[in-house]
Amino acid sequence: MARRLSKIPHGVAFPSDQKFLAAVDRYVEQELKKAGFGKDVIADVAISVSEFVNNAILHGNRQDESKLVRLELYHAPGQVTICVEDEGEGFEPDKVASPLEGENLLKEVGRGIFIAKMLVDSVEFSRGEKGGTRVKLFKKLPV
Amino acid sequence: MKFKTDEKDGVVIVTPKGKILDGSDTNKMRDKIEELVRIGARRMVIDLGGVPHMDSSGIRILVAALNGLRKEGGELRLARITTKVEDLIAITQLTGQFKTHPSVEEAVRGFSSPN
Repeated sequence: MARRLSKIPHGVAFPSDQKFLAAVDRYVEQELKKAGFGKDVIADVAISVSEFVNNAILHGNRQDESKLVRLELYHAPGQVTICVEDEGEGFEPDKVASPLEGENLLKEVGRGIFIAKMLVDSVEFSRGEKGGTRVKLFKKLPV
Repeated sequence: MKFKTDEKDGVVIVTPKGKILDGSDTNKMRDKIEELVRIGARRMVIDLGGVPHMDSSGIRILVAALNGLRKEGGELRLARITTKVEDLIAITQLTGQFKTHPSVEEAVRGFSSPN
């Protein structure tokens, strides 16, 4: 039986397993569709969220299934805010190398956070309640 | 995401279907491409017509295929690339690295023409 996302206020929580990525993607798409967002915006936000959730699973919680990833989603007319929080050791976003520079361009890995930032309007990193990384991403509807 | 592989006129055609997100299916596709190159594939087309969007794991597959084929003197071409995937390739400044074609047939024919 497939494991399910657990509902929390304004969002979901789930163990640190990549198996949940597809379910998270569907959840974000459904919620944004219900909120009236267009197809293009939904696609961009869903990919951005997927990158941060994957980062939380792999690098934050290091795939320790006893640790949860929490995803909260808030929307108002014309804008959406999504928070992704892990229970890891914290993260220093400034130390991530640019995937566009020199030999990084054709490296297989290292683009996730860059892509996630490019697809939304703003991204803020902070420490979560349990000391992990909390990422807050914000997207406005195009005028 | 699911994928299949075919061969036409000496060209391997890899056809993923569905949004590409990181996980076991993505790893399977990457491993399959790596295996195909290892056993001799040198001309490959990835048909992206059934991929509405992808995350960085999709870019990772494309770059791994590109690097793997180049290393062996081979070549990768992309066919039927969708708008969102094209945007992602542009964002990551990889547009100039990939030869793209509007159809699989044209991509396959491209191997026998100078460009």
